[in-house]
Amino acid sequence: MAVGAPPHAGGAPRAHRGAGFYLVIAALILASLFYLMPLYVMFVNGMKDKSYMTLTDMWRLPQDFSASGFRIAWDALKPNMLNSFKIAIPATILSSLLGAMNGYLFSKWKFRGSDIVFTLILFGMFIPYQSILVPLIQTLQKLGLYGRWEGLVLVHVIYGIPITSLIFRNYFANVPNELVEAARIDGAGLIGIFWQILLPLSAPAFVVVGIFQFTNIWNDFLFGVTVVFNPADQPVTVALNNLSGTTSVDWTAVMGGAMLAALPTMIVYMLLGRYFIRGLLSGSLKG
Amino acid sequence: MARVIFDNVTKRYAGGVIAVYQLNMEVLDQEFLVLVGPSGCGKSTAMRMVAGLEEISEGRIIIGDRVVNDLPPKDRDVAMVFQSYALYPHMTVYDNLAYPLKLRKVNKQERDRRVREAARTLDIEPLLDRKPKALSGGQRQRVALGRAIVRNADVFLMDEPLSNLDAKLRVQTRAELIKLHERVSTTTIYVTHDQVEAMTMGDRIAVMSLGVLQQLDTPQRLYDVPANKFVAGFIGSPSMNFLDVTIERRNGKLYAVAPGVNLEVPDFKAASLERFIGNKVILGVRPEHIIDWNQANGIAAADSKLPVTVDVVELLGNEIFVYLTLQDGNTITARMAPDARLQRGLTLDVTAAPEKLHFFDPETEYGVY
Repeated sequence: MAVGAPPHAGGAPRAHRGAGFYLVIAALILASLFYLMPLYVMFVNGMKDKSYMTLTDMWRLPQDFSASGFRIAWDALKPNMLNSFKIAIPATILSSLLGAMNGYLFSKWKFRGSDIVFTLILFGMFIPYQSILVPLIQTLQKLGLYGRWEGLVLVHVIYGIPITSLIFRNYFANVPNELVEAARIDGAGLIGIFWQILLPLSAPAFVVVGIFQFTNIWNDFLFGVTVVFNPADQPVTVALNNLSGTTSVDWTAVMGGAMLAALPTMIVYMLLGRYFIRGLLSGSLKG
Repeated sequence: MARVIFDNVTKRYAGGVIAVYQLNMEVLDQEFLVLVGPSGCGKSTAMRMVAGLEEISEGRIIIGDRVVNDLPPKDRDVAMVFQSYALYPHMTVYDNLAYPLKLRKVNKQERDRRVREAARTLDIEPLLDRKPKALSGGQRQRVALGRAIVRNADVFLMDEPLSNLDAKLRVQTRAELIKLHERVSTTTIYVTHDQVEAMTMGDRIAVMSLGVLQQLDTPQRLYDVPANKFVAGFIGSPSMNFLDVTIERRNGKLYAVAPGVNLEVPDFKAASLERFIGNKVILGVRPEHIIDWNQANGIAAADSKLPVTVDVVELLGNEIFVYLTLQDGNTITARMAPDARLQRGLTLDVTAAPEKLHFFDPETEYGVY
């Protein structure tokens, strides 16, 4: 374990923090600094005044903390941020619920051929988004949802079904079957068992799926730019891209905007991240 | 209250595995019937078919006067206690008990009355506000029982309900379950792999092996008159000793004979053994029926004896288990009173209580009576 650390002669049998331990820590710190660099650039340049912003200065700290980049970006992106919330929240909730129902059926009410159906559903995860754009738009046109945010919600809900079903199925597989059997004998039916027994037990799975789906949907650009064409209805990712779309680019605004657009997912992850990891790892109900 | 009838019930799983084969038996009204057998013998499957958790491949199951084959579990009016208790972890004890009543649209007042009554019966009133995770194993077990009795179901099904308890609590709860049954007298089917539990609790015991019912009888009859070699070996601990012997007639008496074995067969067994004269049978002797020949005074005939060597002595305090090697190298177990003389390597003569000898047909393994 401890690389290069000689074992203590007659040392106590507890874990010894040798040089290897500190090497690993140092490597981890370096790696996290590396990953935080873009965040740093986004933040400091968002705080700068437009006139101070040059490529050579981009690593420097701002001189006056004017935050003008943030202000400009906020004014430009605010409606689209709201659009993103309007799309991501219902889409997250709906796809989580659908995933929970699927996971429940595929783990607790197996039927003949259910494993094949499940495999087919999982297939949806491996189809590249770009390849289905044309039929997708055609379908939305037929449904009268093309160009509307509701259409985007529908697309995200459907695209979320494979992964949410998978996570919930694996989670419910760890819920003892006896619980379902006891409820059946007590008099609960297919739907009653789901609402009264399994759903109250699935908070950890909802956290995992919720974070996953919210992040994915919030960060989506491709569907946002293709399904919704009116700029006022587009999600923040598309609007952010449009900020730099003009001839002269205001980098302070773009940087501030990128920071703002990333904020909701960062907050969600910071608040629920530990449940995310815990839920991914265990999902057990024992004890 | 109701009887449960298994009418030629077979359970065949996809892939052809047969878990229960042509089971015929009637569980009487108010009876406490124990289904016992080694794991994989089909006892749990048989019970789960009564509950409706497994489909019945062939035959019928009748509860009361209804054929329940096509009824879902909730319409069969059975209550079940699971080995893992299967308490709903997010509900309080009160809600766990009230849940089946709520689903059956029992009004709130009546529900409350019955939950509290069941809690009183099981001595769990102070726990009603707790969640299952804040309970000990024994307490969880009581709540699981409570959830069954609160419904006044026709039939109780219990699937190894004591096997997650520690030894002391298990014995205690065993007694309480018997008392509970005396009080509520609900027809009960109780599944266990533990023959001590079966013997102490059952009005009658159904012994199963490899999906087939071996014998259905009272505990005493199972012990005294096992129908076949399997039942004889399964009931009783340590289990019955089996020896291959030949039946011989000498001076008008029958003897069970093998190298180093010579036991006189009592007269009341002679008739049934006539047809085996000159042939092999399996002799069965329970460990508690093996006696030191010197102390046998008159119990066994003078020439009925087996010279043995003591191999291992296990002390249990009030009794000892002695593992003895016969002349031909076979080992038998004896259950005796503590005796300081019995040490490893000691040679002595033992005999068997003649009226306690069992004989089994070596081909069918059926008991010879």
